[in-house]
Amino acid sequence: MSQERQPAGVSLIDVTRRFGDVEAVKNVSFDIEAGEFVSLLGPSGCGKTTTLRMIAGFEYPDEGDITLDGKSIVATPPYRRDTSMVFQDYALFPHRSVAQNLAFGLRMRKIPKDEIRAKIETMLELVELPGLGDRKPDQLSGGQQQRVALGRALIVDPAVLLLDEPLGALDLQLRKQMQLELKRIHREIGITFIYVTHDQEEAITMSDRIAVMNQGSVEQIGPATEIYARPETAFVAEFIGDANVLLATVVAVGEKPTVTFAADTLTMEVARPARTFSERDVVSAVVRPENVSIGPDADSFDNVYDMEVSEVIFAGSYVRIHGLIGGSPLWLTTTVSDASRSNQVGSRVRVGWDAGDVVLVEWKS
Amino acid sequence: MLVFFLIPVLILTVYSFWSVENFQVQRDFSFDNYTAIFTKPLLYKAFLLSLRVAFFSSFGAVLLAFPFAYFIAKKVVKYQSLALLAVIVPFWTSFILRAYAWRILLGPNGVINQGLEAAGLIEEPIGALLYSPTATGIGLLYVYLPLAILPIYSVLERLPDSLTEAAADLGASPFQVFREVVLPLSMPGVLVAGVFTFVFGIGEYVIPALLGGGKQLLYAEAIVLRINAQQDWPAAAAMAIVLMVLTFGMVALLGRRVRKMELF
Amino acid sequence: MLRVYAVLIFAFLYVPILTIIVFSFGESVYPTLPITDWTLEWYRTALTDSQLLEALTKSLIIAPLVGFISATVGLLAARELARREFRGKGLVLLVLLGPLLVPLIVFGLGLLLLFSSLDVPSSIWGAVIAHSVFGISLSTLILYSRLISFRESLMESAADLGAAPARAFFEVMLPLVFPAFAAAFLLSFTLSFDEFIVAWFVIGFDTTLPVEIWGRLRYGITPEINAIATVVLLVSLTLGVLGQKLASQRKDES
Repeated sequence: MSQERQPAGVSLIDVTRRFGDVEAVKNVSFDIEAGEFVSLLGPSGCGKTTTLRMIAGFEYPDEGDITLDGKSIVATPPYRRDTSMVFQDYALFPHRSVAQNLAFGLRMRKIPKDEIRAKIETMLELVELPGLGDRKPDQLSGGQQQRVALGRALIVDPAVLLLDEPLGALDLQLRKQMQLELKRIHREIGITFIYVTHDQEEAITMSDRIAVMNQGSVEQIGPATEIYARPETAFVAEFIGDANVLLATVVAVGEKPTVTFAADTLTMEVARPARTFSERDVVSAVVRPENVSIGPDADSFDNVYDMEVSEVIFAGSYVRIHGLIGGSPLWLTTTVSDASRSNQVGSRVRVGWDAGDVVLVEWKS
Repeated sequence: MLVFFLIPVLILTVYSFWSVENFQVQRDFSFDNYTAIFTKPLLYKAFLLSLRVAFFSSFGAVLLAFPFAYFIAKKVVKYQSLALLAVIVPFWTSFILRAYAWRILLGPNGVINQGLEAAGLIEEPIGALLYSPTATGIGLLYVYLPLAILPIYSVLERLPDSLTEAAADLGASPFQVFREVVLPLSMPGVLVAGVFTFVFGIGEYVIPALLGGGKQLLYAEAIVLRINAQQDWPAAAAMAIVLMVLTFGMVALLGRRVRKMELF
Repeated sequence: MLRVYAVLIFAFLYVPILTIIVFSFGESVYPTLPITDWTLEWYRTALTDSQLLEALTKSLIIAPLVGFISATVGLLAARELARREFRGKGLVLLVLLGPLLVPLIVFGLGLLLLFSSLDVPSSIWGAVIAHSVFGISLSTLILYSRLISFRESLMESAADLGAAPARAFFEVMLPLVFPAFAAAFLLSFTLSFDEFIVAWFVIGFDTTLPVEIWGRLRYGITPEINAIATVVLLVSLTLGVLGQKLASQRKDES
């Protein structure tokens, strides 16, 4: 695609949106850089779609401001905004052919006919649907419809592309393929993508940064690796990847921060937390299952415990082992070969992990 | 919309408390017009006759409609929407003309009498076929039959076959299946059909005027008579209000029993 | 068994209508069987009867007006009803059902008293207004049941792609709901074209076709009625079939 349009940054400043008494979006602020691929990730009802719809102009913020390239767009109606949306249900016009669907936005912008025709051809190539211009939407497969919806949004050269769970209706395999393709298209045309999804894997695979939303607020925003390695809340820890969230009490701060857990019967060393806690604070200690080692190797780690195995579950490429340490439940993942060595239900095994793999966050009430 | 619908109703209400003297409307206030409906023989007889005719015709319509609706809903597969269309369409043709057709059919020299005569079943034409409350009843039944078929069809169509099959599987005879499963579950449709044909029947004017013969007046005819012969607007208004309250009252009762009314 | 019964019911529904049509071609003044001679005489009589033709013209002025007003107002009302959730929505729908349930004679009388107390001269406008009340009710219900399944995202995506609200309406919504819109028009048209009582009350000395036919029926059997009746029946049959087909058209189009 031509670079007629410079990608634009989007900022939300203290945006609040209420539906009746419910605050769907609460004081949300973030800045998205021009050309970035950002996902709004969260469970249904977390306010991510409302946030997206406010950027598109279908909802207005009750408080706060939204800017595109530094200019407020809150008063601009959707049909004059420089944003394009890919709808969850695609919203293809059923009475129009694929080509006519693609042409719609261009016609609204009074682009000359022959130019429209040329752009349609180019777009059909980009979304890999050459020759299907004359079909009606209902003659296309779900994946093809998805591509038309994408093409229809992109053809008008928007500064920002908004995607509302665009892959939700596709089956797993197609979804994976489309993820790669969206990534490719983003690279090729370089405009800002804002992508709403409830699928953490999708968000991790595609985005430059992820904004994790919960109950109308953004809990954390950052690159996937950072969010995964250093979750700031228990919600983020559990929503992104798997996590053991242990109720713990801070007993030492400083060079060697330490907490107790399992009803204060066990202690563990932890990494220096991002925020400051004081002694006797009640916190959540987050340990990723894949960071827990099992068997004789476990002894070399900072924190080592005895675990009673209560369940061993084969999950294909790995094995999940559930058990109790000091009466507190813990689970971990290990390779099939490691698992076969020891662990039968009821047996006692050694488990261990490094202090650096424990993240302390505020106790989730 | 509301203006042109609710205001006429309000005006009717106001008029109904006025009276008439020497063909002049007096703007006073009394319930006389209402008490008259239930004390003057002409009026309450017309009212009772209307109730009776409407009841029998709506009862007949539901009775005729049920097996037919069942047939369309459960036995016709390929041409179901066509059959349904064929049921609805007469409803959209001229009301007067459909009533008039029965005059041709029922008259002393009408098709039915002649047919019976030709078949040697009767010697003389049956005069009473036309111009009687019976003729009115037949006319009502005829014009509102589609209205009875549709709601019954729509409940039967949504009745899953698995229910009747389950009942049969548990040992119910076809009759028991009907009585224990089909009928109770199609009651909403039957009630809608019955009430609607009944309330439309009570307020009907064209059919009794064309087929009833005028010797025994029905309620709507009595209303028109009040206007045409006596210029007694207030009395007519009171009678109309009674009719409307009865209609809406029955529909409201129906609405409480049947949550979802699907007419179209 | 049931099959035979169903055929009988269909016969019951259609024989009276067919009777009129058949007798309109019979030579005898009285509709008696057997019909010995066939003729088109009654059509000639009917089509040269200036009074009948005038009444027909009036009906043909009123009915399309009613159809258009009803379908347009109905579309706007149904759009608002289908799009918004508000308290008392059920009540609004119930009130909409009102004009279709209220006995015609009650409504006709009420409207007559309204017009006379406002000193509105009786004219075809009275009939247009009266019939539009029914037509709007009917149209709103038809269009509402269509619009309730209309995906709002289609309008949003039109806006998103740069279509102002009016443009989005004409480019996206109207084409998609057009069958229901046409159905509302046709059925309101038919309703008005066939309606007698209310027209009879409000129209005064002008007569619509049903009112004129009514007047003649009161004087006994006049064979030209069969001819004009056949024409009327065929018109409303055709419009009724079309309208009903469009109204019940599958809603999965959007």
